[in-house]
Amino acid sequence: MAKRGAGTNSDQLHGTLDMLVLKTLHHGPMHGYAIALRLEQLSNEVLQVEEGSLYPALYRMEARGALSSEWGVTDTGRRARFYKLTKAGKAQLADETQSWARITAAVQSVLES
Amino acid sequence: MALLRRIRALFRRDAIADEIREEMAFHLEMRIEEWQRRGVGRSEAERQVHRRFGNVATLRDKGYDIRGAGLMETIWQDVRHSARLMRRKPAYAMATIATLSLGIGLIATLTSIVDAAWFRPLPFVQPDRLVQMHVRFLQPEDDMVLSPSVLDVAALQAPSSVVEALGSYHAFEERLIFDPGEPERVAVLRATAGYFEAHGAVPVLGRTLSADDAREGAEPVVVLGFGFWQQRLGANPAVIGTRLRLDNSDVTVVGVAPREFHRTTQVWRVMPAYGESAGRRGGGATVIARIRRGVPVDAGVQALEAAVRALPVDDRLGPVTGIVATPLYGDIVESTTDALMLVGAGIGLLVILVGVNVSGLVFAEGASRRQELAVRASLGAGRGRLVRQQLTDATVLAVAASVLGLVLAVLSLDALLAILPLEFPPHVAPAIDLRTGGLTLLCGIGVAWIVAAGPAWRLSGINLREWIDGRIPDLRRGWFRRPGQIVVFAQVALAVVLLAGGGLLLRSLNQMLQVDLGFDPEAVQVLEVAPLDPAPEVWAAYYPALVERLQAVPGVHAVGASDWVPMAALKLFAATMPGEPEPPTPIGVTPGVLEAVGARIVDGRLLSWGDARLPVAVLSASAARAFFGTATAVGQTVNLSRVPHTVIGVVADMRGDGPRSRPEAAAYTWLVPHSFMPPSILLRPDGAGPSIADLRAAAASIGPRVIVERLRPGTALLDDNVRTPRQRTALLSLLAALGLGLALVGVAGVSAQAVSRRSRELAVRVACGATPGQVVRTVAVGTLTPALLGLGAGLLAAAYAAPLLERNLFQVTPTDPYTLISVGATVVVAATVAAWLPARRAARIDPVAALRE
Repeated sequence: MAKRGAGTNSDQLHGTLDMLVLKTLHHGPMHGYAIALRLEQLSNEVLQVEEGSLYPALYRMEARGALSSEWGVTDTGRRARFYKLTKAGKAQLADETQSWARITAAVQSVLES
Repeated sequence: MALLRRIRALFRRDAIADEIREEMAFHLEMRIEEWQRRGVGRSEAERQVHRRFGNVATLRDKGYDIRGAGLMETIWQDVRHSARLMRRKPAYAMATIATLSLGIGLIATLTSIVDAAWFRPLPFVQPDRLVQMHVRFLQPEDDMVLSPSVLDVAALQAPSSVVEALGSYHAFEERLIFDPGEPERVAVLRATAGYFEAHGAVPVLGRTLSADDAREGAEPVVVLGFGFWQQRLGANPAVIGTRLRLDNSDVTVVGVAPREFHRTTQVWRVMPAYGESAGRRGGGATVIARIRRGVPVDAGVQALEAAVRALPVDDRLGPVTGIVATPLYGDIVESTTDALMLVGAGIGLLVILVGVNVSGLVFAEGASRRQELAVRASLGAGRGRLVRQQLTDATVLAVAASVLGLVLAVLSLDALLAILPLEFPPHVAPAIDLRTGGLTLLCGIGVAWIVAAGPAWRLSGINLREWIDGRIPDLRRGWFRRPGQIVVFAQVALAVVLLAGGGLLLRSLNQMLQVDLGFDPEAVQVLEVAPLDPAPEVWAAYYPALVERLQAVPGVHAVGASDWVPMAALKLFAATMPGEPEPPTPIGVTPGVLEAVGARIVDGRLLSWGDARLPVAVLSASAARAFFGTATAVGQTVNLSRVPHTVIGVVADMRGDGPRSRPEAAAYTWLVPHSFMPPSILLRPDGAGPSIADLRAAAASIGPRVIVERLRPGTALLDDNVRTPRQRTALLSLLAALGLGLALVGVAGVSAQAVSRRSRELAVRVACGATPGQVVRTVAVGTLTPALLGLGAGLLAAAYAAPLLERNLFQVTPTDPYTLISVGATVVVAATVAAWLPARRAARIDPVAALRE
């Protein structure tokens, strides 16, 4: 996934980023910086997004009710905002994982034929 | 929920912005520390981290857009921006709000009137099931529409599967004497059984009128009006069964009508179903029927028609051919419709004028904001955002103006209604309530949007590059090329139409007041005096004695009793026999009446007490001509009601029913008072006139107990007769004056704008040697040209539309040149002054300063 630019379907980008964020938070509450680090690791730095655009995505998901957030303290004793999945978020993750699997399977089968 | 969150966000905007800032700062700081741990210097780390993070300010805004109040926020911003704008340009804001509130106030008034006339339901149960009808009789020459007799109504009341209830009531209320000790007159309506039931009115006490009450020998009963019961009888709960003294007989109270039911009527009596009157058709009774639920109203009307056809044939009138059914009180509304059209057209024109005026203001204001808008557009505001901003401006103005307009309307409604030539059903009065007020508010905002939409769209297309390059599209394309001049043209044209209408009505009224009535209504006063005892001999003796006593009261110049009151629209007709010439209207008078009304003697003399009860007559000029041609009438004999009378004098014809009526052929003979229609006392005052206390004392001093009431000046009679025309004229004149005022403000505004817009060009002219006078003329002519074109168009439109007014005109043609020329001259003079006054500023232009700008 390239940097956001001309020709990129931003909906698709949002959708993918959202799904990855949901997946990341699946294991428990995290603050924004930790989410960014995790995304970096998980994708082996293949996915390079402008780091800052994570935040509008988080806010959008929170507004939609997939996430909730509260202020907390990090291991190093600093104040940070922690995000966690809501029930709706979990359901969305399940849905999207499923449909993602379907699409990739379909694409896979087309490519292999 | 989302909305709630956004509204909440509106109140913690700073907190949200701080949170976002803190969160992003934390992220950046952690990243920087990470880079530093890898051995990168602080400043290089900061540079790298920020590059990878993206534009912090943009992201913060983006985040704020999502987490903040969003649309609500921008609307709130827009509203605050509008408010700031208005504070900065109070003149613009005030002019717009004032003009708009005038228009909105008028819309509110019109809405409440239309609502009352057409949409307010009648306060009856299921008013749509009610039908009002008259019976049509076949005549050799033409169909006559008459009211059925009491017996007809009784026949129609036979049980039916379509009609739930049917009754009738007399068209006029009688004013009968109610005598609980201090006699007074009360409004009494005669009705049949079924009348209350057909209306769906359930008495609050007792019962309604029944068929048995109408039988011969039945005890006379009454149903009381709710207001009468409350005010005169102290809301006595034990009133049922008590007796009242009404019209010189005892009547028994059997019921009290519900609160809102026909508020003007104080007492209901039954129409007798026996005697000669019971079979008489055409007595003026209105039938009202309630069609059963589930039966289509049309089918109900057809069934009624069939029932009416089965009624007995009337020898004199011929067979019944059918009925004329109308919705309840439809006739009142119908008579109002004509007037409503006039009122609506007048107010509508003025509202359009207001719209034009406001759009002129908005255009001028918009033009001065081009630069601001161009800058905002270049800073990234989208076209939609700019349009929205301008519509918000319009809405803020409209809401302010609507509030003001509604206040204006509430304050002026009563005064306006007094001059509006309108009549409403007895149960409704126009009022500005939640519905009409809300509708007005919507109309106001709608008008403001329509007016603002054009300039808003046009201006929002602006872009800074074009502005700086001087390639600005301006508003000067197509229709918008010269908004000011178009506004002037339209305003003047509309104002001219209003002025022409007002002028024609004014001239009609003037003509009407100029008409020679043949008598002098200004000097007459009318008094009503009646003995309580209805015995004919009491009355016959009372009036001559009364006139004699009244003559002695100080301040009385001439006085007499008469069964005719000029312009009272009540008169007796002589029975016409086929083939005979129409006999003169017989008028019973005592000596003094003709003197009191100021009749002009043409020949002979007037009645004197010496003629008492002799068969003598005074003829009006046209009656004398009809009987005797050019020969002398005095001394001849005429048959009046088959009795030979000697003509003793001839007086000029009078237009007894006012300026619109024809001069009347009349024969004045001795008064024979009837208690069913008490004679009126006509009195011509001397100097300050008599005091009512003296008159009362004189009336009471004769012997019988009497009721004295209603001393009215003759001008009031005249007013009654010309009130409607006067009301129409007042209304249209008011609207025309407002219209002219608005148009002149518009002309002056455009002229003033022209001076500032064209200052550079004018400066060049001055620099090239133009005199101040020439410069001023240039500007004034630029504004006057469209004004004169507007005048021409307005006069054409007025000539085209004036025939619609024809029914309201009196001895004036719709294209009366005198009126149109006066209107034209007024507008030319007024517009010239309005254009010239602001244009004078052009003479003071300093060419150096203006060119340096």
